[in-house]
Amino acid sequence: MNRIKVGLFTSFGILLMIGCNDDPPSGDLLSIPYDPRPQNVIVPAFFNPFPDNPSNPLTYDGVQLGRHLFYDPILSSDSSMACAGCHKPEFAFTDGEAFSIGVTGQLGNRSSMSLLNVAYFSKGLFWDGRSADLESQALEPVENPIELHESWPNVEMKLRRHVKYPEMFRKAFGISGKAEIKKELAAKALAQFQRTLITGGNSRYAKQLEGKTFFDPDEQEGMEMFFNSNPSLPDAQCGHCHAFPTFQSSDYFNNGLDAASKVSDFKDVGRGAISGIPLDSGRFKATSLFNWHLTAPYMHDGRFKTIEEVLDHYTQQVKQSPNLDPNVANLVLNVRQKNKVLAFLKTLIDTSYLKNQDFLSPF
Amino acid sequence: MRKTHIGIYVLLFLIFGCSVREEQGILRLVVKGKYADQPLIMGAEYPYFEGSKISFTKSEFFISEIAVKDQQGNWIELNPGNPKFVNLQNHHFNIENALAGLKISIGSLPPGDYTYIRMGIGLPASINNLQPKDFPSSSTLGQGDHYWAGWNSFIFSKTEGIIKNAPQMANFAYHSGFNEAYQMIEFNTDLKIIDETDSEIVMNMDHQRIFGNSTNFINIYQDPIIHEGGTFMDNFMNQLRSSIEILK
Repeated sequence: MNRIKVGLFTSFGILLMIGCNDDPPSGDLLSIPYDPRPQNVIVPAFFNPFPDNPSNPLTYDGVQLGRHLFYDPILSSDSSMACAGCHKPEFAFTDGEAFSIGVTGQLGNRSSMSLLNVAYFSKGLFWDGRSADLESQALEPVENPIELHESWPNVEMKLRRHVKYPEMFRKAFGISGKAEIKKELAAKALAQFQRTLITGGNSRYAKQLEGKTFFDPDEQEGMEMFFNSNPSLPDAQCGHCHAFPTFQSSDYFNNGLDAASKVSDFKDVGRGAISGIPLDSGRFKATSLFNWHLTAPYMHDGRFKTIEEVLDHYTQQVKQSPNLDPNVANLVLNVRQKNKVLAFLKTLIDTSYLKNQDFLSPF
Repeated sequence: MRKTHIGIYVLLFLIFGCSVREEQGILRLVVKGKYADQPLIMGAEYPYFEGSKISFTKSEFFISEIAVKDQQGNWIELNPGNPKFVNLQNHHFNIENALAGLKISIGSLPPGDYTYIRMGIGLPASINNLQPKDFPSSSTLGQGDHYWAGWNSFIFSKTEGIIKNAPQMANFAYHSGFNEAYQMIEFNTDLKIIDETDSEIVMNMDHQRIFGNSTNFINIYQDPIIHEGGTFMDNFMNQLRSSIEILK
């Protein structure tokens, strides 16, 4: 009798372990054709070659999957917020706020970064470079409690049960069954989409380089100050951090936002927390100036509401610290000169990307 | 049947047996930043010539066209067309690293004794006349922060930091560029390369010497930044060149 009970109990246990596994059978997507086509991205002629990731080459279906995931609130715990919640096309893929609000209503601690030309960051993503590439970056916001506050196992389950995503994953990555839908593939798709977000080729600056237009005297002098190329004008030194050709830098800088008598005094140590190098404390990534007019408020903590405040900072309010970038330490520009720099900055505006349906929500 | 076998063996020997491995040894450059006779640590303060305290936040430079001279008098260039980038600020942030030096793999060489080594500080015109767009953005030369569009030149070297002598203080940034600034240096050496063995050659860079000597030194407070090519940059590059020594 006892043997029968033990047998029944064991069988019940096995049933519980195996019978409740709702993983779809493998091979359930094989009837869907997998025919990957490379996705070409046109970059401005003065940019470096397109920085594809050989381990995650762009395909049409990979980019489309990434675009859907980017705009789909399915990645958040309460299905209320997508990546695009903090990276809105109309704000150059920022959100127009100093700090972003996550799904639980909590405020983030840094400003949302523009994703335009993000493919060209080669020494880490985020203000402090804590993710090595877009594939690893894409994994973070989903599980961040002050962002999407979801778990990847949950997201994977939702994607497997979704009416369209299994087919899209099949077409993008050639998986044979729904069970192969994993966070790593979702991140790869998101990375592919974000790499396509290139801008700048239709700016006045680009046209001037191509000889299709000429700068007016203010724009010309502004550019000369930006790049310190005219000895008769004061140096604005902007080009060190916002470097040609993408007007951003993969490096990290202390641009004098906060005073510190020693580097350990910085409230937000930025890059220093990641690299462990003391002089990296208080250093942050320099973002692209293409479409700067849409990315306010400025700096990693959104402390400056306008571009004029930014220019005033660099010419009047830079604060001393042991690792202050020397290029911003001694700037002297009068109002007219600052306006000329601003005139040049306006040549970096290129909103043509807003008409590109491939950048916008598919929903 | 036997003849066929022998024929196959001969054929296999011809195909595979004749590929003899080329004997090579790896050469590494060990760059040690110094300030006079002290190891250079980023952020640490050192005495400047006139009594100020100087500290460094950045020291980086390109080296190009590295070549060694064999005993027959032939110059052999290592990794032609591939300059090396020396970045001390991301390495010399503590005493251990500063003493050990930054190790950079230069390339491989046939075993033997070499009597001279030479290298360019900066980039030769064949590379400097290009732009970041001519390189992948993941490469050092493809990154805009090593190019100065206002000069149409890559930035050959950056030496940055702070000097102070209360109440005076200045943040300095000495950057160099332009084809004319490229400096070739040559040293006598006793380099021995052994097959399948890593060999090291030590390069010292004296950051005090970059600024001159006790009787003739840069007034950093007066000229904290190099704005353009010309005499000041020429002098700076000459001093940068003379700050480097290769230990035998």
